[in-house]
Amino acid sequence: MQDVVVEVCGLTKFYRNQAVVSDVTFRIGRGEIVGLLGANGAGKSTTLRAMVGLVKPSRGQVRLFGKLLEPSLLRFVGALIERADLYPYLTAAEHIGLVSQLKGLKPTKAAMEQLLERVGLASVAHQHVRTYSYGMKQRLGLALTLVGEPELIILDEPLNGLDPEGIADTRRLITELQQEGRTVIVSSHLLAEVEQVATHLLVLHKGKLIAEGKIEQVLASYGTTTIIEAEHSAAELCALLEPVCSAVQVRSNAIRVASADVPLVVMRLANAGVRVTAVIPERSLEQFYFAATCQQ
Amino acid sequence: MIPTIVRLELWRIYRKPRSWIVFIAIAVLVGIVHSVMALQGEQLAEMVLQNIKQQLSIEGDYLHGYLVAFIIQGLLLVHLPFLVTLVAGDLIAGEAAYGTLRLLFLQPVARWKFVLAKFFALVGYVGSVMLFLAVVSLGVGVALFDVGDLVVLKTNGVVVLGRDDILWRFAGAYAFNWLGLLVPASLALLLGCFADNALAPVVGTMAIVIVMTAVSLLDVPLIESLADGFFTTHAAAWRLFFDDPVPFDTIRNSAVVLVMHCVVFCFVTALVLQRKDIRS
Repeated sequence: MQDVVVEVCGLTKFYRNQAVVSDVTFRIGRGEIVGLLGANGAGKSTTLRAMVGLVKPSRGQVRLFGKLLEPSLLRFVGALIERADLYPYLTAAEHIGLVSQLKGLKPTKAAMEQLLERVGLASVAHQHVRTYSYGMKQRLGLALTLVGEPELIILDEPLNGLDPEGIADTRRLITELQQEGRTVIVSSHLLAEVEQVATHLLVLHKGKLIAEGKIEQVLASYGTTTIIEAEHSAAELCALLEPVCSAVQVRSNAIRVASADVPLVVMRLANAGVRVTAVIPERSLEQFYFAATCQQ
Repeated sequence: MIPTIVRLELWRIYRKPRSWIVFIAIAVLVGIVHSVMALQGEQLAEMVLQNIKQQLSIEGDYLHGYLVAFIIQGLLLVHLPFLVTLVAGDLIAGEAAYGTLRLLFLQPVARWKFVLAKFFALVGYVGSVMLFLAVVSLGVGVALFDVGDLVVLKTNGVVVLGRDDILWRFAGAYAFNWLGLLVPASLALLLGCFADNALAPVVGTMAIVIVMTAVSLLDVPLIESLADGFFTTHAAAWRLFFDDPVPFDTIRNSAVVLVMHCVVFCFVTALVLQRKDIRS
């Protein structure tokens, strides 16, 4: 096994002559938790599907564990794409048994119980899936991705339909998986959740990869914003700063400015006799995401 | 690996409530025929043999389990393909509708292996349907109506088969019918690749079966030569087991045509699925 777990090179996919993913190239190393971000239609699901062979690339290639993608490599991959796909007439335990056997494993009762315990479904292991709620189905979908202890786990919108407890459990599970040395790719619209677990980011916009790298580096590379609080009204502060930068009122005595302008702003306010009470850098993933996609 | 996937496919087929509809329908249909035969069978047989009796003297009890089983097999000629495609059409299209096709294709198994496994599972399922038909129509028929010489009406005459010369013919006919049913089943499997609901391949297959059957009935030389290639024409060759002597060459040729149809349908299914993007 290589240290590069996923290598996507020049991935392009056309649907009806329209490129939904265009020349996407990236690498994912072992043990990384990669947050895949993008708006609806950005090409996230198509990229993930191409990574597991569900869609055939129009151009480019996908390599897993250093080898060109082929079905046998999926033995080391667990994937939950969009929603859990389940047989309504089978039980959770039977699903685990089915996937185990398709992966060429002999399902044991202990392993099955352990998996279902891990996703909180042990008590309903022998109930038909048709009686499950959407959240329970998602949990079972997560359990199925873990069958055979795969090296690479791909989760496309795994938090959809989960209650707050389920979201927290999933977040904990993803962190545990990384601690076990596995690589996890998570696509989600819940940026705050991604921010809590991801070590690396991939951002797709209109089918193109617009940002990638370690989460701290990616956030730092984009112009983020800072909140400045002072003992003056926000309107007065905005007026004072108008010649040097654009400021936006966020509260009665607080404004938001570009982080790059902070030294200049603080100096100008000090020169004007304004007492600054707080300088709060804003570096949330959400801000970065909107800044990055707006720039494009 | 393929035997494991076949076993899992068969297991899922029998876990689906829809799969049991076929057995229930056969039991109900055969039950109705048995009841009608028990109540009015003598009159019906008299009516059918009326013309023959003007030219031939037929003595003895000709209403018995063998005749009832023979009649049932003829009656279910159109219904059985329909019932079998209900299950076959669901094998790919139904999986696409549930999204479980994606679950399967995320496993380390080549897609063509799934197609092959689904076909072999169909072989097993259709075999069990034919076995069930044999038990309820022939087995129960013989238990209810006893055995006797079988009088078979042909377009060019009458064939009378001795009671000791019949069981192997039924075995051959059921086996041939098994093969005949596998063709519409594999066609439904193929059509299922283009649909995302189980109804479309069932309707599509039945439309093709009905059109082929109707066209082959047209008494035009051009159509006749065309109909020689239809699987519906060859699927009816099970009746030849009740000829005397049995035309084994014709039966073998029809069997080859049916097997070729199954092979082509499965091959095209694998080809289509191999290239198909799973987007839903």
